[in-house]
Amino acid sequence: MNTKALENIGLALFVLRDCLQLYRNILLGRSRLDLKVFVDDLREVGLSILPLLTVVAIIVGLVIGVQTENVLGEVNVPGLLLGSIGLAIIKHFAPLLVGLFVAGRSGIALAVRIGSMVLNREADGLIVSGINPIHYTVGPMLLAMLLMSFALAVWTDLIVLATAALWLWLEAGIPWSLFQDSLRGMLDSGDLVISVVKPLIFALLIALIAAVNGCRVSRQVEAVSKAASRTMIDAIAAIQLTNLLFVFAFGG
Amino acid sequence: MTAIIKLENIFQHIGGRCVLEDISLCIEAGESFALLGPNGAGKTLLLRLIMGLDRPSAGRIEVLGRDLTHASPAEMIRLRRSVGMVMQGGSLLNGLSVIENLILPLRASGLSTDRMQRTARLIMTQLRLDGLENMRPYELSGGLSRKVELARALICRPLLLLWDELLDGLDPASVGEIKEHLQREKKTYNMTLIFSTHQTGGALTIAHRIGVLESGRLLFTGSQEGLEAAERRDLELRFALQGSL
Repeated sequence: MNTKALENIGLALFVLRDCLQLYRNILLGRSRLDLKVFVDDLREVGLSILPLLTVVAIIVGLVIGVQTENVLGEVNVPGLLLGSIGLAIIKHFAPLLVGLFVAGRSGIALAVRIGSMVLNREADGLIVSGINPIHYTVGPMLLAMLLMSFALAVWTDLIVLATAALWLWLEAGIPWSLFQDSLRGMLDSGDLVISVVKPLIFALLIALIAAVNGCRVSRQVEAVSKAASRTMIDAIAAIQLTNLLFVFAFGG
Repeated sequence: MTAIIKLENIFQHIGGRCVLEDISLCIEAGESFALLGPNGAGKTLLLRLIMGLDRPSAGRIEVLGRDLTHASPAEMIRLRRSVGMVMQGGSLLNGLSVIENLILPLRASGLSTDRMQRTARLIMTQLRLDGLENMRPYELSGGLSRKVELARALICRPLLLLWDELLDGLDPASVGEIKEHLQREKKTYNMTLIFSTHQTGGALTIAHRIGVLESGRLLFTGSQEGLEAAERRDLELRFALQGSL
């Protein structure tokens, strides 16, 4: 591992420590969460991507529905197929989809925000005002990303599953109860935990990657756009790697 | 008198180049100290070191009795609440309105939003910034931005005010107002003022002592009269040398 990678990990840990410190202080009543910034971040992370995420989730649901319908006639155990598809949606598709959307919207926005603040000396302005720039920028954003990633993952699960089930009911006459029963038979509580924990870990990684890339912006304008593109690439790599680790560690 | 700032043998290297060389300086509480020097002399860097925005390559910095070289991040944040700084080129947050920018340093004070807004409006009135509350920093002229920065730096009644390029970009009327305001603050709160300037004009009139910085070295510290005498001696020496050549 080269020195720069080690420095980046150190910086990420430093950012994480500062955020945890902020949350602890908020819980102890020593600090206040900037509600205005937090609400803006919630809007940016969640509401701004919700329409497009819903459309993509419907498209994914339709594609899965059509593909399943084509294969269903050749399979003797439709329940097994439906259960496996449902499991794949809940454990893999939905967290990945949410992770990519959050990285593309909030990760890049955070990197650009921090980078611009460094470039325009706004970060210095915060420091001279006695405010920790990490508390001001990453603190509320990370919290918003964690909350919204959870909510968006549940929403995406519901939309993809509902669209696929609706298509199969309309086109292949598969009753919803069969879909439901096969899902219930295959899913256990561990799978549900994984489906919820994964998007949270993705959100944490995206926020730290964005913060590190934003902090590393030099005093050149093009450095901000480089930080944005680097954040997207690093975030996709981190999401895929984490997903792979989950597959090896928990089988999903 | 209490020393509010102590710099001991400060060196700063950037990219292998020595940009500050063996700076030692002591500034008393309530004093007005001017850092005079041409562009690139290291004035901004020295102010940033005093503010704790950068760390020196070697040497010791003591501000308000605290050793900055060994201060924890939390201590630094607490210390900065007693120090105000007006930065060269501006450091206001463009995403916030003028009044929101002014309130920033008060956030940790535990005051209610209403109280913070009243404090911000009061200082805006004192610096004749009324009516700009909801404007964004990028909508302001350079001079007004400087005044808003000064208001932000003064809002917590700092013990120490650092001002990079004092009175730069301000019209003569604003210069008069600000000088008057600074003198009043100094008298009332015994505030120490350290400012940098590259002009030997009006800004120096409010300085008790002047430090001349050139190529990262502190060549002179003393009163304005002392500086003038030194300049005369330097001129006489040059004439004498020219004559002998």
